[in-house]
Amino acid sequence: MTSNTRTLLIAGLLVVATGMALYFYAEHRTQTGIAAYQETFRAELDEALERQALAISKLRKNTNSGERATPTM
Amino acid sequence: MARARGVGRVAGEADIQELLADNRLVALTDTQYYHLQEMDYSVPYLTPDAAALLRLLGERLHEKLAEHDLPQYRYVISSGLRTGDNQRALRRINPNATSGVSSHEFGTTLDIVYHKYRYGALPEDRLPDTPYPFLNDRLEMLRVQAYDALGMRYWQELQGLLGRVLIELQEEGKVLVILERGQPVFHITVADDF
Repeated sequence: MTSNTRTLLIAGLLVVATGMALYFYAEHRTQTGIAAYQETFRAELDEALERQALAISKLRKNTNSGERATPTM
Repeated sequence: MARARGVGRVAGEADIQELLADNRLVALTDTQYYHLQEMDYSVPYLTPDAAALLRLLGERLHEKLAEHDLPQYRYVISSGLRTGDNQRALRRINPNATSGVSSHEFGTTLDIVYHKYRYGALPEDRLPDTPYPFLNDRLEMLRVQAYDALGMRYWQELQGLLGRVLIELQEEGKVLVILERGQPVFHITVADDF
């Protein structure tokens, strides 16, 4: 193996290794970003649902006594 | 009432097409106010007055929901116009289906399921987009499912709200309402011009 061949081989390996490192880094950033968005989404949704559930649970049920909320002819 | 305000008994598809052409029937589709459940024994057509009543009912329901700072839930319609054939088929499985003439046969009457509500996601309620296009629709779908589940959990409260709107409309002479026995539906007939 000549010196030039060896240099080319090493350079090629460096390029491949750098490409793979960049790929895995980008993939890691994407997954981390998605996880962060999902976590924020879940927290905000849970908070909104809790607030809505509290508001909705204050409504009178149809089965409650008092005002008749079941219309009939 | 249904007969007086209706289109006369509708035998089948040919009658429906004729009435649609004369604008005496209108086709129903999902709106921001209501969702159409799949109909096995009826078809989604009503008179223009009945369709206008549905819109008014939806507007009033949404006003009440907004007063309580609640999501804009849509009510669910389970039955619309019944042709003669529909009515005969239904009579075999449902004792509520009268052996004579049903008010559903005139296009003025429909059934609203009172234990199902669908979340009506408004465009402005949609989540801000993330940098990940595939994630946007997925999160939005989860949000809609979560609100649908909330509506299912609190259906009795929503039924109470819908029931009070129907009582108001009945007191205004715009609708006649019957709570059907053995079926979780409000059976409603338009009672006024719109």
